[in-house]
Amino acid sequence: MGAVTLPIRAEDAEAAARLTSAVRSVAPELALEIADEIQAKVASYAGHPEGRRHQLIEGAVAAAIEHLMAVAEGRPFANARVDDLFRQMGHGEAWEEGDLDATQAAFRVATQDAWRHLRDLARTHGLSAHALGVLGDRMFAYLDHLVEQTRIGYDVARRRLEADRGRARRRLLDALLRGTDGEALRSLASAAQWRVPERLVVLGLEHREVTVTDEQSTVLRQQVREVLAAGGVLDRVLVRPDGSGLLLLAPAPEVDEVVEVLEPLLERTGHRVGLGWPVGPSELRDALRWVRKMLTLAGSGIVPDGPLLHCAEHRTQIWLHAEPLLRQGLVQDLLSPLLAETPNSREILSETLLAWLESRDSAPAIAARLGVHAQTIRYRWKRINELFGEDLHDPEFVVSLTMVLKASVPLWKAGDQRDFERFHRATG
Amino acid sequence: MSIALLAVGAVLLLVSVLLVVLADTLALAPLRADGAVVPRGGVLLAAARHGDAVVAEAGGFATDGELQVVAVEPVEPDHDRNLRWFAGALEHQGEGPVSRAISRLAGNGRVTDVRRVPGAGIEGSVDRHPVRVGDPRWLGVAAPTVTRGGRTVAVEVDGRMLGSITVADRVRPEATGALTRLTTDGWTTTMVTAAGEVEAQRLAAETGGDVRAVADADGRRALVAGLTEAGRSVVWVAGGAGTVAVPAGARLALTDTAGAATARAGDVPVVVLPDVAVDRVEVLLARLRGLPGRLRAVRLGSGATALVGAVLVAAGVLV
Repeated sequence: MGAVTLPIRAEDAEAAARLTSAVRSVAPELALEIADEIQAKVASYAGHPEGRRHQLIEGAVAAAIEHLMAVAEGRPFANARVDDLFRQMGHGEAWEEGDLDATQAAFRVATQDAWRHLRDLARTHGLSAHALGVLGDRMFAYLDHLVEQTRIGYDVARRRLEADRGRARRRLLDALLRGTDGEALRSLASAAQWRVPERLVVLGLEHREVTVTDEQSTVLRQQVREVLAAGGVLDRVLVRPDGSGLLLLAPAPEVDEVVEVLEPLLERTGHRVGLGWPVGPSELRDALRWVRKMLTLAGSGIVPDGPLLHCAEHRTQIWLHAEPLLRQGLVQDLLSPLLAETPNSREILSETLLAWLESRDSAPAIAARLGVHAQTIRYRWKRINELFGEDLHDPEFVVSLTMVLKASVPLWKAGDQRDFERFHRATG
Repeated sequence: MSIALLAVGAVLLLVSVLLVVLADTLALAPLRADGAVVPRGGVLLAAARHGDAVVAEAGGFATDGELQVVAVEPVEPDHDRNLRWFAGALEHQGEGPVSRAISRLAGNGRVTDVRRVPGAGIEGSVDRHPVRVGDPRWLGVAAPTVTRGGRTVAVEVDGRMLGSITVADRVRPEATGALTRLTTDGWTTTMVTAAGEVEAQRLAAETGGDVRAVADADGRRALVAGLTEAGRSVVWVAGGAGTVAVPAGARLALTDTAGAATARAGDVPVVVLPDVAVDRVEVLLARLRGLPGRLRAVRLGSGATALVGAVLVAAGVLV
């Protein structure tokens, strides 16, 4: 706000001068009274009459009165200092995690008090109603200006605070995933204003497309943040970009609510979330690995894909695919008779063998499970016996066979042909 | 003069005349009972009195026109059921009597990618296993040594030969009983087939009758001629659209509607039946045997009625 010149008529000029002189003479008492009134009526500002808060309020009110009088006298007044003072007040509110309700209430109290005193003094000094009206309009406009300065200070501080907290939260998330503990973790948690719970759940959010542009990634992250914020759970989770998607860390008791908030977005966009099971902070690094493996398995078609992929439902597959080289070696060692079959025969025989190893059911039961005729199962079983012979009576072989088939059959069905290519390269 | 005696006598004379006129119709009525179309009684009398040999085409007479599986031969004994299942399931998608016969070996299955190869066979996937059923040469194997009649198809599953299935004409279940009754009635029955010696032996084994492999019409004529020369009176039985001409020397021919035109082209009297199944032929021949007796009975009745009528008319005039 620049210098203000009141359009007071010439006949009121003398009375106005007297008024401003009178106000200036009582300004300290007036500021004290208004500060008392504010502390009495605004609970958030309550405090000792000689306390620091009272002094701050009194100082702000005095500065505002001084500025108002300068305006009334038509003197140029550099208001940057006062504006800055009120922006600092807004800033302080933001840092204390408060809002502007109390500040606005304080302004109402100050406005009412100041107006009352102004009317009394105007009457005493014979100021015309017109001059009082103009003076009042300007006073209210000036107070609005101060409210605006407070809000600006508040908003700036909030944005800075949020950026700082975001960085602190990301540092905390990284530290948790690195396995940081003790005082270092507590310090990071304090900076991030996030209490580390005893059990946490890792959520990996992945874009539905295999190849994702930077713009698509940005849109995804933006959407997720907006959805989490709209659902009121953004503050409760730690979030950071992860590849083309996002990594989220949620307290175990609140993960259901987070998922509930995310689900409509997942349904709408086709993105998928890998959801870990609750673990302690020391296991988060492993949990992240499992979630990533879950997403890879779903993306490869090894486990059924969907918007929400619970790692707990696919622990065995996550485990069996944890060491791809070991699995590949076992496949070549144990399944060579199957690998020599045609692709169609290999697939149906391995599927049948796995079904039998898992259930040890009768031919009709396995047939019902696989949707074929019982005699087809008996035929396949004869073929399987021809391929593996006496090995099928070796318990250790059967256990290994079961595991390697359980890991490999879904892989083959998903179209991965690398096991067979390796076999044919090796056998010429 | 007694009017009453005159009237009764006249009625009886009239009845005797009617009996004379309708003698054939009355005597042949049992033969026509099953829908047979028969020539006049006089023509049939010779066959009825002297007929003692039946020569029949086995097809349609002892068999019913359908095929049946007569052998399932897996390459390994363990594959017997697999052979039946995969071939039977696939042939549900086939066409023609061979497919129908093989399809009876198994129920319906999940069959996909079916392709019929004219003159060769059928291929498709049964529960995702590639299966081919058809001519052994189409499947790259040698035709089987002929050890029985009918037609043999090979079966391949997953590119491996599983075995073969042989189908042949289905013998009527009532054939054996009907042939026995014919023999009891004094008929010597000989069946002929153009399907070869092996098929003739199979039919003979299944029916218990005398079946001969006769390749063509000349062979049939020779067979009938031989019987005739031996003093036998032959009834020729053959039906179906492929009926050959009735061999000369036969005293009577039995055929069905499809074969009627061909059979009637010769000089031999022809009886047309709904079909020439052995049991229907046996019943007809039994009724044919009774034809002379029925004719005699009608004529005797006619004479007796005429005599009584004449006596009554004379008495009426005199009294």
